[in-house]
Amino acid sequence: MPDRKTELILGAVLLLLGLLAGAVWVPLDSETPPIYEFRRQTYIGDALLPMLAALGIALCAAVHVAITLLDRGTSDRGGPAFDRHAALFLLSVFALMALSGLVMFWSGPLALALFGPETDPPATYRLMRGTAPWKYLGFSFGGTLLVFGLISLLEGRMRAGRLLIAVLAVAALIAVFDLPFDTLLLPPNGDF
Amino acid sequence: MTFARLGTALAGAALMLGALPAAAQDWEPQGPVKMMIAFSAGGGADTLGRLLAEELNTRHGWEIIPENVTGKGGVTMAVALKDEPADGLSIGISVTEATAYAPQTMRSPAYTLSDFTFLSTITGTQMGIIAKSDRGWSTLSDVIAAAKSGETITVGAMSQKLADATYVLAKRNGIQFTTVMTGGGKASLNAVIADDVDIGWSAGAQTASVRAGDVVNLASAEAMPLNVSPDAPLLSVYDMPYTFGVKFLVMAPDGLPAEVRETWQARIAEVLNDPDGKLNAFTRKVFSGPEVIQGAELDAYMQKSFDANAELLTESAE
Amino acid sequence: MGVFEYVWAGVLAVFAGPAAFEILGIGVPITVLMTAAGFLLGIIGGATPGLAGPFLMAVSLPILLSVFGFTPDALLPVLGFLVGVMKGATVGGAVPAILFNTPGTPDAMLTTLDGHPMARNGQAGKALRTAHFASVTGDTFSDLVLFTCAPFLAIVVEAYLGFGEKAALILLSLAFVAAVVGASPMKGLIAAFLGLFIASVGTGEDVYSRLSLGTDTLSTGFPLITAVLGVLILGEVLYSFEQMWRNRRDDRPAGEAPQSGDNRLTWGERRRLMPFISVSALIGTGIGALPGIGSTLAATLGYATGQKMHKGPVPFGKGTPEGVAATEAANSSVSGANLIPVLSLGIPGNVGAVFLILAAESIGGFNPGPSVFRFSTAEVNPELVIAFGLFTTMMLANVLNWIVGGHIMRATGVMARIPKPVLMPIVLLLTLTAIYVQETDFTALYFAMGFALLGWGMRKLAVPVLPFVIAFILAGNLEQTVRQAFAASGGDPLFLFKSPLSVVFLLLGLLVILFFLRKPASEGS
Repeated sequence: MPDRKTELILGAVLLLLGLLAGAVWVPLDSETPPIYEFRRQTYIGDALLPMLAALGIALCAAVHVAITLLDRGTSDRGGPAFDRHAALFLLSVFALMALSGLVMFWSGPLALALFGPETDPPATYRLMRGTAPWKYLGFSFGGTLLVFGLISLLEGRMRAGRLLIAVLAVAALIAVFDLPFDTLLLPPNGDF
Repeated sequence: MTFARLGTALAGAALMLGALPAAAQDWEPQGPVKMMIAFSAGGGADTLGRLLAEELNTRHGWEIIPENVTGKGGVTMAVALKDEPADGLSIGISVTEATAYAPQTMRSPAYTLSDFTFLSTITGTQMGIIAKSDRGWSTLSDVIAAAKSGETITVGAMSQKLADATYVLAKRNGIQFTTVMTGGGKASLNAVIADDVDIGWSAGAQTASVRAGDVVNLASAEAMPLNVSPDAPLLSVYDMPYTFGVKFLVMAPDGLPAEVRETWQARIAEVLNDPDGKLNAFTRKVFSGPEVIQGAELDAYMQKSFDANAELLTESAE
Repeated sequence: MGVFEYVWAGVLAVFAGPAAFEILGIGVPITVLMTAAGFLLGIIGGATPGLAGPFLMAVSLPILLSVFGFTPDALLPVLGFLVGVMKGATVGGAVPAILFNTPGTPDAMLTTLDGHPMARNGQAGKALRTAHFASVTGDTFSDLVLFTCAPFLAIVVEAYLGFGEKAALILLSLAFVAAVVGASPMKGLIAAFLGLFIASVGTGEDVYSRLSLGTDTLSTGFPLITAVLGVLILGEVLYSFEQMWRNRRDDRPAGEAPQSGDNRLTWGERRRLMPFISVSALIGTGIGALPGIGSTLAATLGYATGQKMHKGPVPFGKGTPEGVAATEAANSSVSGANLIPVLSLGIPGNVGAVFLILAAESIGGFNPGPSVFRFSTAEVNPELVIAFGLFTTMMLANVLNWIVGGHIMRATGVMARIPKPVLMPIVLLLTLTAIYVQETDFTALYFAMGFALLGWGMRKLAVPVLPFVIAFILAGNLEQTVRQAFAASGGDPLFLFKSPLSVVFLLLGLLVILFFLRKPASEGS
């Protein structure tokens, strides 16, 4: 459970965001107001649901702050929810994911440009995205990097056996998603 | 390698060389084709698209990957398709209204008719105005009479265009309807059957219920009488110069090379016109049967729909 | 067609449907095969700490969609598989709880209290047999209640509820889920409102996509599968990553104790367990029928009631079969009854039901809700046949469970030895791949990670995720029904308060929130 201070900050932030979204963002960013008249009939507009939802968040956040302030008995229920460790954790996981994503996206086109067949005009990745081996490159490299990287991160050390597991897992995924189906595209092939 | 084999190989190579000019004319997709379907899985447009993909695959080995790009009556898909490369490897399955009606309702239109190459229509709806049989109404005249006698009539409409239509229909007949927006597909039919609305528009989902006698077609909103209820009056009887039938079609981004367009048109026509094909059977079961309008004729049809919709919009905005 | 013809058509749709392959000239129907496969996967997955039913359903759904496509023929095999997973995971969850004191699923938490002491005393086999017997009895009972209640409830709803009442009913369900799921009803409500808000991005009736900030990326809104898998599955994955990352050490499960005691479960013993199982099954079914209250509460109540009833020599908590039976019967009988609000109202009350709705929505042709149970006589209502087909697959899974479930269960102890730091990254890649093949766009993966971050943050701040997910799923339905009710009332501002029934629903919703607000937050957790 988060401690009292976290609860108060959470409530205050949500109160502010809810009010902002409900009073500023929603009215400015939807075509019809909450209620409008059109051709002699009254309609509910697109703004109503998000406006009520945002104000609902603000209202509940306000009540939450009030309850937390009144409830003095449960002040020390645990440590803060977010600390330096959480930030470091997120940073490393998302850096790894971003890197794997980049590798996944560009391995295929890069390899094709470097080692692709010499044709005129040169084959684009869009044309080759359904052809082995090109279609497997991005997913294989990116996927292996992601799985092996995460395992190493979580275990705090790199082990060759884990690399093997990552390669096998990626191969298994290719076997499940790609081999039996003509109509499925592995990442990143749908983007080309 | 023996000489005999070498001979065969050379002959094969010569054949391939000889076939090259023809291959340039008869374009074939060199990679997987992305088929964007503008409506959700399981619906009419989705089934049409997937059957087309399946038959093109079995007949010609084309690798077609259908995906549902849904939202706003086809606008979402049109926006996405517009920015795809015009190489014949990205096509869309949608309805005429998505390009002939929707952009005219936008304050700054996201696209126009000329942003697309229209390859072929597939089939058309069986749009009718329906009511539950136990209401005792047999044509729209009975509903208009009921409204004139002071009864409040709620009307289920699946799209903004049909809401416009409801308004104009009421205005031209000197009455007032209360429009209730329902979702697409069977939603309008379900609302009528559950007595949530009095009458509703339905694009063909009503056919089985009409046959079973639970529901009646009060009027045909197509240019022609409905297959299942040939006696239902046309909307022109009620002073409506517009029709509201919708055609399903295959489209691509603008600027498709001529040979690509021709190949697609020929292949689609071949699949649609095969009376033993699954796609052909499906259009006959649920919709108006196969309708193959292509090329200049289709462009003219789209422009005509566009202009008719402009008139409807002007009239309904009054 | 009459009622019995419909039931029969549903049974036939399962057993006489398309065959997967033939053995000795007899075709094995694909739906039967898929139900069995799902059941097997469910037991194995349930017995693997960290996986559990929702994970397996989430990950297998996109694969199933690719295998079976989007035709009506796909519905029963896919739903059968998911039902199988749901039921398998329920029994599988007890295995690591008993053998290693680590519950495979959250609701097996209380099974550890008596199951693990039994295993330490050399009676693991007996504990597993007890868990299986109680679980499958409770599950079957719950299904029977579902089969009888859902159709009648649906017919009543369809006949008596108009737009206004339906809207009020959705609001009541959301309020209920928000109030009971987490420790604080206010946080539950915040989660539900957030779900509604995020679901309204890029949707709506106007041509301009609301809240899209004018961008194309947001104008199509957030895909349902991406959002649900992101918050529910990837958020949990991320959360478990952090736990593992913080204590980077192998927490291997405790070793198995040597088994020497009495490991049989005689018919006399089963008979003596029946009072505990019956009471717990009733509790679980009652709780399951209400949206949002999970099997964990059912297990807690079942265990507590069993404890009061118990007069045997070994007290609860020291390793008595009655304790295992009371818990397992209660948490297993939740799953069937959980489908009552889904099938009769279209309102998913728990995670398992969420995935059944996702499957039905993705395939199309079956919209869980009151209109399913229209016993039309002149023409066949295909959705009703599917509904009875679904019931048949549930019964089929139960029969499988009775016959072979116990044997499979006792063989899955090895699953708990798979290290979590190896398993979870693979689950992450699997989920991301599954999302990608559905959406074929990297943007979907960015969205998925965004939702994962949201789910992680919510877990850290003890904001429940289930109200968010259910509100996200119901938002479109709720908005449309409210709009319809408003339009049909002719623009009456009091349109939601015009019928006594909708006023009752709304008042009930308010009362539920106030009731749980009064309760000190520390008790709720």
